[in-house]
Amino acid sequence: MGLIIANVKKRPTRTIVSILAVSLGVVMILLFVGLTQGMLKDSAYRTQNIKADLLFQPPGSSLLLALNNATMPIRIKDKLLQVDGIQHVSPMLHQFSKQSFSLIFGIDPVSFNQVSGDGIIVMEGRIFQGPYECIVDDVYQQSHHTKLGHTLNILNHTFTVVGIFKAGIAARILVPLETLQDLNDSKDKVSIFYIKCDADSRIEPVYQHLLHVDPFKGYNVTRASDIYKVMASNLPGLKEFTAAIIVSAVLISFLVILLTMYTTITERTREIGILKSLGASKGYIVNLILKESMLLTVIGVVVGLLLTFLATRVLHVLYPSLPFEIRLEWIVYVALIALLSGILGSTYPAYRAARQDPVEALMYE
Amino acid sequence: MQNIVTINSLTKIYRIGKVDVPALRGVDLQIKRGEFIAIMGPSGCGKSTLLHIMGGLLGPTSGDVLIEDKNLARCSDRERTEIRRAKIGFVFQRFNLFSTISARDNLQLARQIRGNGSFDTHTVEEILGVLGLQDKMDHKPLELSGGEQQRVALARALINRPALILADEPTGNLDTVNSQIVLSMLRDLNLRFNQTVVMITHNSEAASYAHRIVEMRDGQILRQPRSELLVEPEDIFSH
Ligand SMILES: Nc1ncnc2c1ncn2[C@@H]1O[C@H](COP(=O)(O)OP(=O)(O)OP(=O)(O)O)[C@@H](O)[C@H]1O
Ligand SMILES: [Mg+2]
Repeated sequence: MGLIIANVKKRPTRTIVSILAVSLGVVMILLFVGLTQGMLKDSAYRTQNIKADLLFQPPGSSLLLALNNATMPIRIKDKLLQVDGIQHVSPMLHQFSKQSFSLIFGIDPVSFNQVSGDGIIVMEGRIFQGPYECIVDDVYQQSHHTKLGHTLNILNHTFTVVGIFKAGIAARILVPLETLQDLNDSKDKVSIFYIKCDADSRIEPVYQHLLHVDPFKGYNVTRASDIYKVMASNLPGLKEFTAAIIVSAVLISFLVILLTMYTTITERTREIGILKSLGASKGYIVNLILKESMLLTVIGVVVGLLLTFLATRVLHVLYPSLPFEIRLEWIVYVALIALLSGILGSTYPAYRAARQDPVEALMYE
Repeated sequence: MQNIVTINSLTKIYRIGKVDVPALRGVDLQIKRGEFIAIMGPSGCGKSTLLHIMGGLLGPTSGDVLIEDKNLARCSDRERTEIRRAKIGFVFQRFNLFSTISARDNLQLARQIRGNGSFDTHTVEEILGVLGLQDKMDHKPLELSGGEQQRVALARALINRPALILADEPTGNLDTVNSQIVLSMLRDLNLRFNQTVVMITHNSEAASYAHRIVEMRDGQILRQPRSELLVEPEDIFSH
């Protein structure tokens, strides 16, 4: 062990570079996964919190509202209300605001509160009444230091903030449905209907009915319990991109560890010869090289975790509404991935070192 | 008296590309327990090759090499490594210490590789005493003189209680004073612990520390004068 630590200390630059390469991989994976999972979780959570039983959307649209703006006529609402088992229906039109990089929901407060269990909880002020009034949630209020009476610019129109509602439901900014329809040139159009059934036992029959019976056939219907799953599958290329990030991280660690350990054993050819002259077996030498690379990767993982932690702190200060979700299971995953790439990267150098001819190694300058 | 080393008709041919380089051509040699032997001969006559084969670092082309009762010529690579670990201590011209760790850690490393079977702490202290190293143990090799480094290397070779110490020109990098110190210590260790030593040297003064001098030429051992063979090591040092 003393020899390993001495070796690692002897070339500080090389050691630091390999540790940083491993930690870079760790940071890359954790931040990416943490952010995508966090965002998905967050929007799934807020959609689920509306407590609608079913979501009804235009054909081919996505639950990730930021990704699409398909609409359908509001008169479908009446047809939905005629379906046996449906109690309430609330229409919504959304708009992605590039200025605040967030979603704005145009809603109808009366039907919204019918569908939604607790409804919108106004903590300060009141719900909007006039057309150019809006309410924001407390997270938005805190991160933007918004106060009642302040104005917001949405689609080139000035809205007055008249209320603050409790975060965790729908979007962070809510405006009257009709106003958003007007501004959006989508009069009588909506992007989603939130549906409440008479009873829990009616959800499944209604769901099947909407899926298979005209005129609803072809529309996107989602059960509340499936929201997260459907959102994850709606994000195009999420799996592929996550895999690509993991593969690049593994590749970086693998190559850097390979290079580090390869130069290390070349540089220490003579020392390997000495070890062999002392009677060290092949296994002993393989073990030594593997342990050294494990030491580097373990430190790399720890540094990576610290850097990830720091990065999330900094991001949280810069963008308080950015949701991160870094779960223990992913930390374990990433640590295993890093260790695996460390082992893979040092396998060939260890094999080379173990096979060294002792006499030649002893003569190496 | 039991032989520690028995070598019969040993040959070694190096192959460089398609050219065969015969380095040893029929070597016979017996070494008894407690003997201190010097091998002399011109450069390229095969001394190091012989030593490396005795130490199991190199396989022979033909012939037998017995270390106690184990025949190195009939061993797998793994078995040779085990015999080397258990029975051989090497000392090199270039000391070959690990420069990044202290003298103490160098010794500790050798003990760790050996596993069970190294000397107890008391004997280690005694060896360090003979070598005059007690207060140098926390130094790193480069903080020591050449003579001191070679003494650490000697301690490292001895610490695992090898049946055989193989030293390839141990004084080749030392000045006269340090050479004498190292050689007389080698002789002390030979006496005190009945340690068998085989030493290659170019220097006849160094060779004079040994009980017996083996002369080599062109991969063979010159016939020994009978008188030298008659001397038993115990007889020399019994008075
Ligand atoms: N690895 C090798 N490959 C090919 N030939 C070698 C190799 N090692 C040694 N030889 C040759 O074998 C012969 C004996 O070499 P060896 O090193 O045993 O001589 P030596 O007596 O120790 O010489 P010196 O006194 O210079 O150390 C020499 O001709 C040498 O060139
Ligand atoms: Mg030689």
